[in-house]
Amino acid sequence: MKKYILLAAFAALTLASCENVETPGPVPSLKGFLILNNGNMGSNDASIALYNPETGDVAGDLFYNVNGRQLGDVAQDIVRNGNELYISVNCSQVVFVTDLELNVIGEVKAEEGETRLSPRSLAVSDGKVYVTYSEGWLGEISRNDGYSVRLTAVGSYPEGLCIRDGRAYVANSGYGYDNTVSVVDLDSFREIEKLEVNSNPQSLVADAAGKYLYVCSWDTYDPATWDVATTSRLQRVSLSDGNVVDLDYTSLSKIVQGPDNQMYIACGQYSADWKMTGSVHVYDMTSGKDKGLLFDEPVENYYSLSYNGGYVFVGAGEYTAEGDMYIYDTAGRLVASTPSCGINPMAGLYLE
Amino acid sequence: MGAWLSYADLYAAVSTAAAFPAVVAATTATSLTAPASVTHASRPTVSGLDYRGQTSGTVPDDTLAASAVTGDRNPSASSSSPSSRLGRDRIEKSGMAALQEALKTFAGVSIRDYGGIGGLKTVNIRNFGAQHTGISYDGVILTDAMNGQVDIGLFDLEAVSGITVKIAGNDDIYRSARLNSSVGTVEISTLRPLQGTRADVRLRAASFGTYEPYMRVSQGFGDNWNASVSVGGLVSDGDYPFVLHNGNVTTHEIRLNSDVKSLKTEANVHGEMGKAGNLDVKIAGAMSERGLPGSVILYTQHPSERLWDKSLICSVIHDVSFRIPLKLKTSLSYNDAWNRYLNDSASLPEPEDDRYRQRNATLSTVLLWSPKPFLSASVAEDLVISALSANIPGCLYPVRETSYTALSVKYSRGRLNAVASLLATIVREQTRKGSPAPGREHFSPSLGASFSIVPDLRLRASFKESYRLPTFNDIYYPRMGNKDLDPEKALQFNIGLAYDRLFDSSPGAWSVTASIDAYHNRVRDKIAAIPSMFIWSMRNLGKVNMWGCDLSCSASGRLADWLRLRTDATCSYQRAVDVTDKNSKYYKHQIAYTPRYSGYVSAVFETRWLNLGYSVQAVGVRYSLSQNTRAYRIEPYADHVLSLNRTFIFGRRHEWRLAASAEALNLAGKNYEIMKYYPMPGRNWRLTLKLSY
Repeated sequence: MKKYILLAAFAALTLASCENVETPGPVPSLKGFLILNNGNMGSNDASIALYNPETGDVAGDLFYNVNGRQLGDVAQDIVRNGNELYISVNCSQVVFVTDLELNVIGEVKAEEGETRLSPRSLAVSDGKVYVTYSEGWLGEISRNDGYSVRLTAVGSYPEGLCIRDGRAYVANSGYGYDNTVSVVDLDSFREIEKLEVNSNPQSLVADAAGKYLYVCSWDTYDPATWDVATTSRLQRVSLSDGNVVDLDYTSLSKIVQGPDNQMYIACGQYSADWKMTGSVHVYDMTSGKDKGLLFDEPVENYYSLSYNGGYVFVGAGEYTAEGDMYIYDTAGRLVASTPSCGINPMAGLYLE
Repeated sequence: MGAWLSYADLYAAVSTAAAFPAVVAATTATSLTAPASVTHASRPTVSGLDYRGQTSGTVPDDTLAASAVTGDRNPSASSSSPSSRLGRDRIEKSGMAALQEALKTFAGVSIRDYGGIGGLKTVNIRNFGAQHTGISYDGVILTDAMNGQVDIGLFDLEAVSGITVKIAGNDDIYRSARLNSSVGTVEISTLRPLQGTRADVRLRAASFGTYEPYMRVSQGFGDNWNASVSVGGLVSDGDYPFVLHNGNVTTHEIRLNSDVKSLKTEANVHGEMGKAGNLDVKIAGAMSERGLPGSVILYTQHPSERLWDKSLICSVIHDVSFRIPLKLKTSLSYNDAWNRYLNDSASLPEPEDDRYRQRNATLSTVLLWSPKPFLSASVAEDLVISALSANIPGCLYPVRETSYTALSVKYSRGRLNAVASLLATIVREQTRKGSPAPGREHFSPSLGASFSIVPDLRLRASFKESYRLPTFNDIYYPRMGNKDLDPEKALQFNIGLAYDRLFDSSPGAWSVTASIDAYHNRVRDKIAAIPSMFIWSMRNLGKVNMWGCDLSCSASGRLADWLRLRTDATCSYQRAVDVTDKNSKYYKHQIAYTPRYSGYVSAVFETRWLNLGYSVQAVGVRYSLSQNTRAYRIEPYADHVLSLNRTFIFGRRHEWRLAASAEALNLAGKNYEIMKYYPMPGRNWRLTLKLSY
């Protein structure tokens, strides 16, 4: 116990000393594409890079350059909430709140009992930021009282979440052993319902009308290949009557919300030399129709899919070297490909 | 699928080999001198100091008389490939207590150390990876069929009489076939039970709440049989402080969950039965529990992993020489290793509580025939059965049967010493569930020669192909394993010069040994975990080329009547680059965790009153990532060790010895890293008292 008190004291020292940190070197004005890099687990090498589309320059490890310290271990998600950025760092168990220049203005370290919680996916609604915690919680971060967190229990090992009409939908992956989506009412901040879906749900998208929830589940791993490429499925859940329909996609990685009631669906295939290549389907949720591929040339070493500010970000990463982020506009034109922006590019964010 | 190895056939082959000399033995009266000394008959020997004739593993382990005079690290100058030995005398006088401290003195050997007493420590030879290193303990090859690498972390040096490291070849052809498969071997031998009654009691205390008691009793029975029993314990809090630098922020932290508890016991019986040969029986048991601190994670510390181990090794080794020039060594060993891994992290839906059990049985035979004093040949056969069971979902309960057959010839006449071997490996696997990996066959040759250019100076050259079999984890691990894996191959070319000179035969004479070796190595079909969208998968994808040079020298002799000096130095250069894919971002980058430069220097001053030792190990820049970018650079380090020790001798009727030893480790106190984010302990201390009867 003494150790923990000491640690807490050290942590406090850390925070106190951070405010006096001199920033090394000039910081570029933050305009362009912010790229959040996962890093390798256990290596504390999560990072944020900035790609300037006008000059074509990549400023690497921006968080470090601005704050004089590292982002931490396994950065998972980044969202913008007004004039703030929220960055969840899963294994470091912290959500950093920064201004739009990436200066840290808050650190959210949620605890439940004596357990520090590991933040995962983020979503914004009504000036508040919602975060799933791997320990089985949904958190609501508000600016009051220095970024306080309100927690409510959801299912096991929640991954993605989405918010529609005052409700948060949380994918309870259970690390492969759960098959539910928690529906949390944001007013009472209580789970009001659990929807049954395919097992191992990962990412969720709700359509604009609040009629359907789309659930990408990886399912249990195929015992023959131990691969989810053959088992992952996309479901459409009717939010009015709970009716579930399987959509015709295989080898799914992730779904994300796009503009104009569209959804982007990332699918991956192995190439001949065992590299994962990824392509992105566009799905129109209004008509319920697939509109084909967003771009023709699949991305080699596919790693991630995200959408922000009119751009689709496809990360390519290979763990052993810095990865690349491919940035497309909504028409599927390749706007930029940023070489070597960090280990395992996870998400992109456009700062105008 | 999985054609089952005809076990009866293999067994018949072995028993035929065994039966043949047995018949011969019945007709002969006396045994012949050891062929190993026959093959070295051409070497000059200094009267009373037979150390120069004893090479490659045949050095008697308890000839302390010789070692006390000469210093007993012998670079085996006549060997066709790098070979060196560290003996008991130097271990004691330098105050070494752990195997990794001893191994870092060898050129070309590096230890991957995850820090702390309980942290995983594995042995790498020329940076091939621990799975390419063969480690034998009193002739029993330590095996881990699951991971392929042996943790040497909790190994006590107390009973060790010598450690021999051989790289890129082996001149000892009277040895287990399986050792031929490794790029290099670490052969550890322990003190043979001595005549009469001997007892040692040791107490050791060290920093971070570490205590290591040890006791050993040995008893002779008649003139030919001896038995010994030892018990050793270790407890350590392991909670060492370290300084964590995160950019401009520096914090003082404490390594958490680094505690260790371990208990080891061992019993040995050694019998010399004349014509019937020598018999060695060993039973060794160990159990341990430790926390796994994991890598340091910024902004939080929540280590949640623990490991329990239990293991049992039983072995019987029989070695017999016949009147006709034949020697036969047969050994049977069994190794049962159980471990439990627990991760009760709150971020997991439920605790991960895995239990693994590995069982290995090995029957090993080697027959050596020496028709001429300068010529010998051997055939060696090892049959190994390994089985793995685990409670993890998806465990297929694999069983592997491996046959290693080695044919070797050795020629040693005049100025030339040459050795050639061919190893054939046959692997068959079956699984209780699912389908097993297909069988594998592999041939690997090795060739070596050394030539005396002028007296004391020899030129040596060797070529060796070795390989590592895919481990059970590589093949069967749920979600990652791949049944189609081929063995990972390693080709080694070595050329070197060895100088070995004893200046005169007086007891205080200076002796100097030096060697320089240049090498080129190629790794093909490197087994690597390849990431994909959902899972990692094991593939034969990597290719590595290496160029390097190892330099080592030592000198010892008397400086004054009251002062002897022994100095050793090694220095290594290695360029090891990834050449898997020309288009990759790390093509021709130095492979991760491989320094270009490293070195070790030590000096031991021996006086009547005190022995004073100092050593420093220096390791250059390394990278923790395949792509060598600045962010993944690991800074160079130097680890200094100072030791003081003295042995008091007293008693009238019986001789009692009290050895006291004190060491200061990592004197500079910096928490350097061998593995990124696994800080090593800073300055720490160790005190040892040992009473021997």
